[in-house]
Formats: sequence, C-alpha cells, structure tokens
Amino acid sequence: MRREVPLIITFVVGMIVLFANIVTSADGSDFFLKAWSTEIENWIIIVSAFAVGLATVNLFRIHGDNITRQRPGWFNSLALLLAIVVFAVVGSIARLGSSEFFDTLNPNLYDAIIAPLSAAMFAMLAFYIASSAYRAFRMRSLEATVMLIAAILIMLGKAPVGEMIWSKFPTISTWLMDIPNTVGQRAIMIGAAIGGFATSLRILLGIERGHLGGAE
Amino acid sequence: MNISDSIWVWIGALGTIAIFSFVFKENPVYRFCEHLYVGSAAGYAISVNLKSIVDSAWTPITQEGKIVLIIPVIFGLLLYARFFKNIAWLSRWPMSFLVGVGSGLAIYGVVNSQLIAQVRASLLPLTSVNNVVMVIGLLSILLYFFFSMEHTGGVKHAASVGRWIMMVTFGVSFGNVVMSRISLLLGTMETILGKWLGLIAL
Amino acid sequence: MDWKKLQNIDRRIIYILLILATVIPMINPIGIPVSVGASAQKFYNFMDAIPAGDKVLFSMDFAASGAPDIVPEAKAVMQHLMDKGVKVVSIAFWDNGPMFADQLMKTYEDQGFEYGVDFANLGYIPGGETAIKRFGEDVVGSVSKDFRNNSISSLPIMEGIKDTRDFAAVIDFAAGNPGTEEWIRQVQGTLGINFFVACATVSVPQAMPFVNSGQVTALLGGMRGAAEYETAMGKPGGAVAKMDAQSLGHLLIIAFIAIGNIAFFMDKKQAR
Repeated sequence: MRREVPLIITFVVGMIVLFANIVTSADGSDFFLKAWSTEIENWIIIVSAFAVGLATVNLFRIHGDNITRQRPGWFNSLALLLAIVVFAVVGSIARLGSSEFFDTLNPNLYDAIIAPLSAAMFAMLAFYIASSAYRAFRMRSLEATVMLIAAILIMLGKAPVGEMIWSKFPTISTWLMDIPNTVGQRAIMIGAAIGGFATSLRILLGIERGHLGGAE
Repeated sequence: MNISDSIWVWIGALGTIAIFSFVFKENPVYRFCEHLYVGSAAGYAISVNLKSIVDSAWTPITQEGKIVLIIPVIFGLLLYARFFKNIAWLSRWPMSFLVGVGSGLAIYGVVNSQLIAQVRASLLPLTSVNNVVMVIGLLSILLYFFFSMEHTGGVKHAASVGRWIMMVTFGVSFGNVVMSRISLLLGTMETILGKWLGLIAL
Repeated sequence: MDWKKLQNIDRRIIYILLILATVIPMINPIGIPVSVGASAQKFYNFMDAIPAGDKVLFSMDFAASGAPDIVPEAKAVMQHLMDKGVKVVSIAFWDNGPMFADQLMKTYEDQGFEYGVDFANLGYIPGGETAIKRFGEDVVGSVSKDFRNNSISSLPIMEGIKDTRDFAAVIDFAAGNPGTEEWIRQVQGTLGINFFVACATVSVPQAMPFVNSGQVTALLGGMRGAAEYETAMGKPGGAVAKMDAQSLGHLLIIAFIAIGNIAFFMDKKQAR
C-alpha cells in the first residue's frame, strides 16, 4: 500500500488535469473535469509553498550540526542560520503585518545583502569564462573551429564595436541566430518534447517510479 | 567622486568586493559572505512563501469557510515527514501529487506547443536558401540523434550535416553566454562605481 | 618566443585586464552608437501602438542573479509604457520577482503616478508551471491579495481583468524555469495571447525557435536588447551607457582566445 497509494494519486490527478485540458463538452463549454482540475491547481500552489521549507530544514540540520560539534568555520554556519531567521522574521512581519519599520527594513536588507551578493556570485562567472575561453577554447579540429568562428561572429555582431569594425557583423550574427541556431535549438526541442512526453506518460502510468524514492 | 552615505549601500558594496575576492584567492571573508548570502536567500524564500500560504490557504479556510483546502495543507505538512524515519513513507503522497499534476500538464503543453507548433513552423516551401537550410538542417539533426539504424553511407553524410549545424548552434550559445556574463559583471560594477562611489551617473 | 608561456598567462592578469576593460569605459564613455535590431524594433512598435489606458502584464521571472541583464529591459519598457499612459500589472513566478517590480513601481510613484491605478504588483505565486497555467486562465481567481496586501478587487487597475487575454500584451522577463517555455506551453498555446519575451542574453538562443514559429511575437535579448529599446525610444539610458564596456569586454575575450590559439599552433609547429 505504501507504494500503491502514491501511484494511484499520480495517475488520478494527472489524468484529471490532462483530460480537463484536451476534452471539452459537446456544446463547446468546459468539461466537468475542468472545475476539478482548477481546484487541483489551487492545491498545487499551496503544497509548493510548503515545499520551499524543505531546503531550510536541511540547512538547519547540516549547519546546526557544524555548530554543535564546533567544526572549523562553525561561526559561518551560525551566520547562515541567523541570516535565515532574520530574513524570515523581518520579511514575514513586513508582508503579513503593517509596521512601517519592517516595511522599510525588509527592502533595505534585500538591497544590501541578497541583491548585491547574488549578483556578485554570478558576475564572477565573467572572470571564469574569460580565463577558460583563453585556456581551453582551441581550434583542435574543424568542428571546434566552426564553433569558435560562430562564437566570435556572435560576440562581434552583438557588441556595438563590431558594427564599427565592419557593418556586416550584425547582419551575420542575426542570420546565425535566426537560421542555424534556430534549426539546432528546434531539433533539440523536438527531441526533448518527445522524451518529455514519453517520460510524463510513464510517470502517469506508474512505470517510472523515481519520484517515490528508495525501497519500502 | 560622491561616495554614498547609506549604510545599506556600503554593506552591499563591501559584500560584493568580498565575493569578488574569491577569484584571486579563497579567503575567510568570502566564505562568511557566501554563508550570509545562502542564509538570507533561504530566509527570504520562507517569508515569501509564508505569505502565499496565508493568502491561498489560511485566509480562505478561516475567513471564507473553504474547509477543503485543509487537504493541501496536510499534504504540504506531510512533505516534512521525510525527516522522521517511521513516517518517511508518507512524504510520497504529496510528492506523487506534485509529480502527477506536473506530468499531466506537461503532456498536453509539450505536445501542443513544443512538438506540433515547432514541426508546423518547420514545414516551409523550399523556395529560398534560408528555408532549405531550415528544413534540411532540421531533418539532418534529427537523423543524427536517430540511433535505431546504423549511420553508414548516405545516412552518415546526412547526419554529419546535422553535426556541423549543431556546432554552429553551440558556438552561438557560447557567444551569448559570454555576453551574458559580461552583462552581469557590468551590472555589479555599476553598483560599485555608481551607487557606492558615485563615479558614474545612474 | 616562449609559446608555452604565452598559453599559460597568469589568470589574475586576465581578471585585472577584464576589470579595467569594463571599468574605464564606464567612467569615460566612448559613445559607440547602438543600432536597433529587427526584433527590438518590432517589440517597440507593438508597445508604441498600444492605446493609453490599456493594460500590459509583466511576468517578473528572474532572481537577483539575472537582474543586471534583465532589469534594464524592464526599466526601458516600463518607461515607454508609463510615458504613453499604458497601465502595467506585474506578477512573478520566481520569489525574487516582486521585489524588482516593487522597486520599479516606487520610482514612478515618486514621479506622481499612482499605485493601484497606473500599475499594480500582484506578488508571487509558487507552483511553477501549474501556477502559470492557473494565473493565465483566471487572474483574479488565483491571486487574492497583491504584494502590498491590498485586496485585488480594491485595485481600480484590475477592473475588467478576468484572464491574461484581457491584457494588450504579456511580457515575460525571464531568466530560466519557470519562464518562457512554461508560459508558451500553458498559456500562449491555449489562450493565444500576445506574448513577448525580454530575457537574459544566455536564454536568447533557446527562445529563437519560438520567435521563428510566431509563438513569441518579439524578443529583447539582455542588456543589448535594453540598449536597442532605449535607442528606439530616443532616450538612451543606463543600458546604452554600458554598451561601450560590453564592447571592450568582448574584444578582450576575443583577443585572449586569439592569443591562446596562436600560441597553441606556433608551439605545435615548433615541436615538429
């Protein structure tokens, strides 16, 4: 029963949602399943909101363990857990209550910590891509050469300086985006769509059970 | 130079520099800021989703009498059963619910919008070079990934056309990735040079 | 010449040169002109044709990590629409999205525009693709309170809005999933809305098949897209200002790729 009930849940809700989309009543109005599907979608929003806490519980377990065992760098773990609590409390009061102090504090904290640190984390990738392009992007084969030339044409076409060097660079880069790139991405998309359809069907029919986790 | 006098701008700017210090050498200041970032992002997500739970479940249940919404609340709470060995199996129910709905929606959406619409857009008259490239290119790439028959003779040549087009596709992707990363760097530099040091107009 | 050494320049030199290549033109702009591409022009023309009083939906599906690439696009389009008297409603399916929408709207509140009348921020809905479908089919039924805790029904801007077909255009400011594909799968494909994408540069190649098939009416690509939109408006702003730095950054990376490859081939030739 521990595996059968989840499979039945998957099948039933999946079929309701699927048939609600593809079937209409004889008079063209919504099928009766549509109302059930709408209610299920409302439930998904609620369950998804609860799901976010799972990561936080894991963070508390791992970093709480670091603190209690005083592992090297445990003060970083303490900072992490304090940050979770501060942002959760400040944000919740700001959103659910009506306090001018917290209404001002919340966006200030977001602008001072989350926004710049998050942006900086990803901005670092610019350095890594410059370094790795220099070290690893070699024309070792004809295919690598084609890839490199395409990349350089895009970089020159998209930067205004490229148009200054040769007026045709933007035209070439637009053609590369519109034709060969579209073809390649479309082929990948069609393949992924077929694979996605097959996998979704397997999940609904209970053939694919990875989402149920391990044994028992 | 018109350096900002806002404590929040200073915290953001110094945190940015601390994060950037990692590219030169890993150091304790970076590590601290990294943990601070992870914790703050998790805490922020908690607050946002708590509001969602209040608006979509708590208020309808308590003020509008929609008792049936207790079921998804229970499902949501059951997600946390995975942390208790004896009742961990109960967390499969909400997971199955999420996966079932996702799969049901995906089937229709993927077939309609990503399969049929894209194939329809590929049915082009072979009246121009671009159209020929689009149609032949698509067929040859799909053939390249078709492993149910051996790639010999004509099939091999056709599949190799697909491989060349994919090289161009990957090159285009790389060019866009480089552009995107530099844009992210510029945005961060704007924060430091403009918001903090006042060297550029915002 | 030591070609092997030229293939192994200290990475810190590359980092410092990249910083200089971006910082110097930001402080001392060169002023390289930005031309407007066909897609950005089409995007602009459509927005320009929307009558005053109509409503446009912004779907703010990005986090702070993608903000430097996407916020300039949102700022440019918002400025255009506010200048024309077109109203803006924002929703988000990423939890960071509403904060950026709120920042954008506060700028215009300071200029005399009124929240709830000229624009509104409906906040964030969790649930990814399912939430997008739910919202797309029933805007008012899927959101009860906005980001500032006002009841949706109390906002004058929400009058007459039932589903996303009631918006003149839906613009997805997207950095990943859930985003463009989910909107197309669940809303554009079924309801046939006027769907536009303003995405991070890295997402542009994957979005091109949808532009080609007409599922996406027009696309803005990253900071370059924002710069083109500002140019089309005749009001160059922050995005145009950063294009010089973008140009030098690209040239530097191309130069280093060239140096690496030249050194590689010369080293191979020498070894033979």
